[in-house]
Amino acid sequence: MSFSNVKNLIRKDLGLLSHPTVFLFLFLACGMLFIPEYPRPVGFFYALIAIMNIFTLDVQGKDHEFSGLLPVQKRESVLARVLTVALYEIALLVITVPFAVLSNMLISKLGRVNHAGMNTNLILYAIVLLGYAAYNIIVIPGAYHKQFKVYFKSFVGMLAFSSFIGFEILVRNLKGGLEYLNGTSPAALTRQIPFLLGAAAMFVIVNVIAYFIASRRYEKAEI
Amino acid sequence: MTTILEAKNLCKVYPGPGGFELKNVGFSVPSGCITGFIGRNGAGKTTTFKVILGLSPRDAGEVSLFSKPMPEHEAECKQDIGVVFGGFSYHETKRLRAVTKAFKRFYKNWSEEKYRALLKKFALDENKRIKELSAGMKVKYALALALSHDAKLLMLDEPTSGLDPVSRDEIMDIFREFVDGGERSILFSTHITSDLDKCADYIIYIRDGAIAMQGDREQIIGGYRLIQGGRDDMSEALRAALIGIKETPFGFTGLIRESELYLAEGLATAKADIESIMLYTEKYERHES
Repeated sequence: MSFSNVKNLIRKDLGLLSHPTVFLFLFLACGMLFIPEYPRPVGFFYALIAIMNIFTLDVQGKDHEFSGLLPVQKRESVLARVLTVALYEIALLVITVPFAVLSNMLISKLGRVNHAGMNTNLILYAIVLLGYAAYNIIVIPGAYHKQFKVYFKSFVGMLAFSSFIGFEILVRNLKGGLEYLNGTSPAALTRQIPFLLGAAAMFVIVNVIAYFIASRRYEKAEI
Repeated sequence: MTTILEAKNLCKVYPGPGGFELKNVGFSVPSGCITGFIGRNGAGKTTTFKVILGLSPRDAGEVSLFSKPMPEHEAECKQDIGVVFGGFSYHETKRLRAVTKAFKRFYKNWSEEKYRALLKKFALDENKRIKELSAGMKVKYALALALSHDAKLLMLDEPTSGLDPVSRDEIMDIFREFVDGGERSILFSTHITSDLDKCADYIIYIRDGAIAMQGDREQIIGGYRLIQGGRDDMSEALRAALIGIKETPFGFTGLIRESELYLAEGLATAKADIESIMLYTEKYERHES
């Protein structure tokens, strides 16, 4: 496994497979945090469409054949794709953080309460990370199977992500000392850190599993 | 002369209706030569290329490139291979500049100077999108990429299909220039046999997924003769010796091995070329009754 090859493959993916929606949905995710009453994970949901477009452009541009002819190992191609997807998801989460802080300040100043969903806090980020992990474990191995097509798998992946909205509803209605899970105060945020770290660990583990399944499939695939 | 590519007993089965089988395909490509890989559409040329390059997993057999086994040394071997599948049909909505930028990072021996010179020679505009290139320009762009990273072996699958005679001739000149010096080779699949008459040193002929013939082009051509005769000139012995016969109301033409030419004494003969060998072997093949 060559680090340089993986890095070049990621740059190739970003250069040749980046659909304009990659940036559009990033702005959308940031902007939607300022809607006072809104189910928060929805803003992060749109990133999944941008990721689906990476795989769609792969099929349209016959990128699997293009990459198959490059002096790289197949598993390097798969690792690069997993990292491209995961880095986009993480970048989106990180970029939204200052906007989340700002929107929390503005919304609390206006005295508004989010009746449509939970507050923007570390638990929300943990839920979104788990939702992304669920999407990736369905879509990434699916993209290296048979015709490399991802439409149906993306739909299933999006449903999997949407199922995490259920956690959001649960968090919003928690009582009995667990209200801190929906809090945005410094004390509540501190208590939420272990949940975020747990979700991050789960995100890493699931993506590693997705990589191994996809690699095994790609070795046997007809390109 | 060293062996650049060696394939041994390659087998690949595509099951199901309309399936296809590659049957113990084996050949070698020496350095300093252009090897023509011929066969009808669907004979197994592209499948053989894909199996060699690891794009299609093989069921059995061995491949070694530059004396290194594949796929164990896949990345290392592909540094020294330039591949052209037809024209360049990847990332068609992207500009040449963007595709080249993504491509060149992978090659240790990439020469920007050589690439620029080839763009100029082929009159390629880097600001054009791949889909805006003609079929000939796509082949030239693919060749420009392949030649700019100092490949030792070019594997070209039907690179001249759809090209006009002038463009084909230009590409043949590039091929000859590429192998001059004796260290580099070209494996070149085509069904346009006249291209091979111009430049191939070796011929590999694949038929129904199996190698039907292979060797030095002059030896292969020299091993066959075309004969022509009237209806009364056909004898049972001659019919049995003919590889293929084309019969008309007035007589026949046929392909015969040079060693059996004595059976056609007195008949008009002509040198066979690759096209006639392929035609009489495939279309006018004599079937035992």
